[in-house]
Amino acid sequence: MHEPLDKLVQEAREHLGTREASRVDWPAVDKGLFERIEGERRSRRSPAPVRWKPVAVAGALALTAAGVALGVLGSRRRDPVPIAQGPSGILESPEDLVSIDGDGRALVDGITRSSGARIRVGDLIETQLAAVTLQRPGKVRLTLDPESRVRVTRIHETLVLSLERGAVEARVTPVAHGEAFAVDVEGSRVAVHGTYLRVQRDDPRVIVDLKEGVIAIGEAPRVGPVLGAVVVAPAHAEFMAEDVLGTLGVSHEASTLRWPAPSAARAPAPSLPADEPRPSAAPASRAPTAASSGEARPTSHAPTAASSAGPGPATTAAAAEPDLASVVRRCIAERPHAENLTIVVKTTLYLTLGGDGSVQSARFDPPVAPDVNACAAQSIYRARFEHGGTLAIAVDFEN
Amino acid sequence: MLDEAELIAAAASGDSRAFRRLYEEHRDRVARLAYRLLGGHFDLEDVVQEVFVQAYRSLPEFRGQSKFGTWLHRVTVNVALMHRRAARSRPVFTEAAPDDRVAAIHDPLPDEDVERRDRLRAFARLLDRLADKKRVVFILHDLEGVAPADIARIVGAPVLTVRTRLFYARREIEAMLGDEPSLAGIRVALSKAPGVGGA
Repeated sequence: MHEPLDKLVQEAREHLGTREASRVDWPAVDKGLFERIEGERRSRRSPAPVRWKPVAVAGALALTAAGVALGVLGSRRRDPVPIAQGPSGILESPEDLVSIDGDGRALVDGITRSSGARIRVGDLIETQLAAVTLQRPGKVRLTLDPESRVRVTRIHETLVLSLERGAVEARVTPVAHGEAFAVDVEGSRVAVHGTYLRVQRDDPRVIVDLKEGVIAIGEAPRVGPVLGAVVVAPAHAEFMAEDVLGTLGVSHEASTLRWPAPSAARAPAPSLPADEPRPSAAPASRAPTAASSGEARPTSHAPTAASSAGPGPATTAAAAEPDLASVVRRCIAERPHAENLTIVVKTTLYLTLGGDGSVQSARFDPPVAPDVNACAAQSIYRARFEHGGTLAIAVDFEN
Repeated sequence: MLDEAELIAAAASGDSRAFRRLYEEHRDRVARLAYRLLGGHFDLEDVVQEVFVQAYRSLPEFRGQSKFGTWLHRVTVNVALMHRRAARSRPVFTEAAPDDRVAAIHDPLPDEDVERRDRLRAFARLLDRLADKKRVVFILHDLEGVAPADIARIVGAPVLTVRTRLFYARREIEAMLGDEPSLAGIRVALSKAPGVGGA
């Protein structure tokens, strides 16, 4: 290189960016960074998040809709954390309190939680047939639609939920600075300063209906506020999560708002499937639900070992595990498939049991095919255990 | 006191205190490199945080085949390029305050420093005009002092390609010098130097 340019490069080597780097707000970066890392660590400890594919969703919903699904246990079981003490010794401010409100119950990392249960960063919250309300006293009150799933990615200052499925409806008390609440869908963010809105994931679209207030829609930043489009109520907005600003469309016609009317299914309900009548000998006659397309129904190849009417006699978990595992394996084996095809399935059946030992909910993680779901659901419904709680049954299949 | 290899191993196995030590050790260099790669158009805190989140996620895959600093350079380059690509497809909603105005508020500087600051800003604008591949190689080599073989690993290209990009990056910078008044003197000096055609 030539001397004058050499000098310039030398100057840049010594000084370009050094001043800016020295001005970085490290406390802010530290806080955001380690909050995210802690969230990821907790996520790794909890059951593996499932990237729902359409078929898998249908299958999983089938069990949920039929009143069977969800639970956790064994080494994955996480005991309730005392409210005053956060995980990993992290101090939690009372202002960071977010909890389940009302009569609804939700699955938090696979464990059924009810009113008053504290929600923490990293928690995976799933609703079943009924909506569930969460609240941050005086700041945010939000309702998760039935069959929704969100992960809490941040609580301090701004409550941020990553919407993995379903919809969130929120009423947010206005804040003087910053954002009180935000919903992420993949890399996009809907940030709320104070308003009444609904965010729905309808893959690959995200639908936002804003009744009151002002929101910002843009790419989710790692720190700081969203830099994006400001949307003023009333508004109906739609975009693709992967390219929020390139695809964002907004209508301010009040008639375009899609605000579902309150219904028995949407309203926070006093009970989850746990309190519904137990499935009878004819599960197909159960009331239809929103997930009817994937609902568990009897099939011609229903396992016979547990297909008699009504719940069977109570059995121990140790005895039931191989029975249910073998039922699931048989359901997989009976699926039509090419003869020269090797099929390997590794999944876990998570059960939540009522106090009387009946199965309240169940799900496969990873999900299984809908017809396997439907086949296995009949036996799962009829299983009866000596104790309540949760149970995980490993299912390994190879033909 | 753990050495870096032990810290990396501990952090990779989930020890957040070890990861914090690595972060504190390297964060200034990451911030400086991120600024050099991106200029002042991005939220530096945002970028740095993303770099270390990506590093945390990828640490279990770090095999020690290169220095940790080199590996972190690679993560930084990838995150920076990702930000630039995202920005290119993003409409601008607010006009940012010009750099000079922001600096004038925060930086009462002696004249000499003001001149240097102006030169560096002009130089940064030239860098910003380079294509990503050439800019990355130039910054890593000429400003960060990374060896071509390490740059080759960082950018995933042969060493010869790295050297070629470096050559053209320098030539383009020289050609663009005249576009910046504060750097025009350098171009004049170059044009008078033997063997330089003033291209």
